[in-house]
Amino acid sequence: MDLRDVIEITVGGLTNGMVLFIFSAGLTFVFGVLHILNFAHGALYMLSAYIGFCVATMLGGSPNAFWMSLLVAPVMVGLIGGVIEVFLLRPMYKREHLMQLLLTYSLALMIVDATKFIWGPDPKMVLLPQVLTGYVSLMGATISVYNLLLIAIGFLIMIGISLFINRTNLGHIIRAGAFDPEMTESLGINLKVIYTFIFCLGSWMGGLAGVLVAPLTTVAQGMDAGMLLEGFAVVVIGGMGSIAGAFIAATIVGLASSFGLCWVPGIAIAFTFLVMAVVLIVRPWGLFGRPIR
Amino acid sequence: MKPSKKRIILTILVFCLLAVLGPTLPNYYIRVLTEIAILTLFVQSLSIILSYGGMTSFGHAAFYGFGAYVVAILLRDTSISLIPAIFIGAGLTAVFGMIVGAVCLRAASLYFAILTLAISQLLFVLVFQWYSFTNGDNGIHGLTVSSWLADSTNYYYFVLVVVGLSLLAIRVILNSPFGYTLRSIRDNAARTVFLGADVWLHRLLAFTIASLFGGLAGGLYVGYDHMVYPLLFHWSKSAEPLLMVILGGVNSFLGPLVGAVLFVFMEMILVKITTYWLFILGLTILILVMFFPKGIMGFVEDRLLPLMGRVKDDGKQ
Repeated sequence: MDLRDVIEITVGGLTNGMVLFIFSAGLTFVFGVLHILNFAHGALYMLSAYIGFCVATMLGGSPNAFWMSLLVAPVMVGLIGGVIEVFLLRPMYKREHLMQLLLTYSLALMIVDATKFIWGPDPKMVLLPQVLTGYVSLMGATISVYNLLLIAIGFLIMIGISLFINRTNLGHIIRAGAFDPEMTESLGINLKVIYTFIFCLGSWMGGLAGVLVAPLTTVAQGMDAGMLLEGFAVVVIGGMGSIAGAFIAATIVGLASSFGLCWVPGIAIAFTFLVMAVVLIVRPWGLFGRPIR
Repeated sequence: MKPSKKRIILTILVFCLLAVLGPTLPNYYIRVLTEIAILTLFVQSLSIILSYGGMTSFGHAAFYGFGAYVVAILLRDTSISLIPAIFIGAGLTAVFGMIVGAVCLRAASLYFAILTLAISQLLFVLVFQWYSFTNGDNGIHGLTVSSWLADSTNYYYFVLVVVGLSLLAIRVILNSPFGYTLRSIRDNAARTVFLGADVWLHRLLAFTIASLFGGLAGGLYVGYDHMVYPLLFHWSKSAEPLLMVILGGVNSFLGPLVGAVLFVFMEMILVKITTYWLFILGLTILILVMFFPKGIMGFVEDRLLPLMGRVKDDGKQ
């Protein structure tokens, strides 16, 4: 294996890592603020991919429809997330965690079958616009432009979220709400709206990941489960509620899977799980998380 | 709190009734009853860790599938017949459960739930991809059992006996000092530690027992349906016992039975109407979680029994 292969595998791993990061960022965001682990996150991700496909089909299947999907699908999924939060999750905040988990779990089941109902069980393909189908050459390796774009988007999201959380008023309010909800409410802040906003944002991120990944793989039922579990692994390894942790963990998982698939294909899947199990045993709150009870 | 004499007599009567009903019903209904019995055991095994142990597992299907696959592979590759295979399967699943428990129980409740989910999905992928051993996506079909057991009525009796004895065993375990310590851990783990109990060990034992009976149920399933497939490990399969536990009621020993009966009827009716089974499953869980969190039995105990002048009995007052 030479430098060329290493670069290609690295780029592939980083690409997957970035998509995984965007997905996991949504998951960890929602958990950090709402303290709910959204089992339906994977289903929303998948739904967004399907909506993207739908948009592309409605616009005549032109590859340039991709830009439209990129715009529309995550927003739609974000809105759906908002509806879910307002009507289904809000009544459940005072209930025990198991019930909340079961609720999102049931939503996942429903969304998965809903996509089957609307679009059928066959896998779908999404095309990339002309401009993104090119390749560049880097030290002898051939890298797809789209991969580079995804990596760039991942970095942008990371920087954007960090700036938002740390430098804006709203970001501070959100952090306060996550840290001490009662106190924040007594300061006159409408936490309900904040919660809805966060859930929408988190769902939007999951949706974004779904639309971005669609041209790379096929869109089909089942993509939700794999992604959700990887997302769980990332959030566990990186630390619940930590964006930076999710970024690093996703990068590690992405690269490890990529190289793992190349060297030891059979065990590659188990590898992510093993790392997660080890982290849970050794340092249960992940790299950047705080110990929870 | 010992079960009243009335209850024991009632239970024995019910079993006798079920036994006598056997030959009189058409084949279809015997199979339905068999399925209910197997599922009751499966759900009861989850109930051990969920309702009595307070541990939320999203991957209980892993043990069901594991037990089933062990039996299937033994039947296919060796000359071991069904009954020994089922018990070997249960035993191996218990060992597997102990290992899984040892790993997963180190994690706090939420992470425990994630880990159990991950393990069952991992098994799913493993079984799916290990084509040479498990036949992958196709599953293993056409398993032959001895002709005596192949008859539905005979198998029904066999399952009835096994499930009945298992439920009895579980009842004894749950009402023993071990069982009460387990409930104490569920209610307040920290306080139980102060009382001197080894929390981790109790949970591990409960988990192992649950996996034993889960695997037993899986093995019984093979005798019922004569096939296995990877979806037995899927996370959506784990939703079924969860649904049944909630349906039946988390705080009642008979909850799993009620849940299993309702579930099977639901399945029977709905499968004819629609193929979107996951949606129905999810919707039912949703409605239950939001409006009937204590399940049907809980609803009965909270609303109906007081009307009849009775008080609920389960150790959680």
